[in-house]
Amino acid sequence: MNLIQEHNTSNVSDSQMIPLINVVFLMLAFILITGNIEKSSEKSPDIQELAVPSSTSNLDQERHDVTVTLDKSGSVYIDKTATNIDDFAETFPLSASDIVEAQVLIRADASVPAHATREVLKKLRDLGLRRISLATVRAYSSD
Amino acid sequence: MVPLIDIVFILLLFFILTKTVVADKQLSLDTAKAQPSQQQETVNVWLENDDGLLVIDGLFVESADQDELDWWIQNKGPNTNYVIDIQEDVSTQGLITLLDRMKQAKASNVTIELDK
Repeated sequence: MNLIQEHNTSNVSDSQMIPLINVVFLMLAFILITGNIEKSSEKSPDIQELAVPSSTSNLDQERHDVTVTLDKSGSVYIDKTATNIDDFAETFPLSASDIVEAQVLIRADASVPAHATREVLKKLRDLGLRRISLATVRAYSSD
Repeated sequence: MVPLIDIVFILLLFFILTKTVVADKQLSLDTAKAQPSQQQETVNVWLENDDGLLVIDGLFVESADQDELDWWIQNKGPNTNYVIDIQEDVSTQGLITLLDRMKQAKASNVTIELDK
């Protein structure tokens, strides 16, 4: 008699767990669908964590050939290579023939002075690049 | 049942720690030099600070007040070229916010002054 009672208690306990498991599975499915695992291999160990600016005009990020990073300290990186604004043209990895169609993404920290971002833009323009975009995260307008 | 729940929780924890739910976006920038034409007036916009204080035609304009900015843009006409110049201590976020506000105010020809 006592054994049967214990068995029933165990069944009740299992069935009470089912809603919890359902919720956990739903969360797992949500995160699998919406999340992107960050490609840590794209980051140079020297590049500080960036807080890119927020913008209401959000285009999905396109494929880009070169990434220029401007971190909080003002350091400039072309892809993973550290450089500075004076050596920018020499460090730039694309040849003149590839530059025309190349797409460049600037990842500038939101707190970096706009003058520094402008200097990078100027260098890119002087190299002949026309397809330049700035990495942002989605901001929602107050409307 | 308990080992299954353990595995699911470990998976959940793994995805929570490694995910980036907000995907990066981009803002396309026009670096081409503005081509002056007889039809299009060019207006220099001076961005004073991160709050969006502008100087247009020698007058202060609060771009944070979207109605005020809309009025200015509409007053200047839709084909006007706006060339944005930036004060020393303005951040990249301040510049992006202004570009957003100009776009919201339907200013279609906005460029950043690069030749200074």
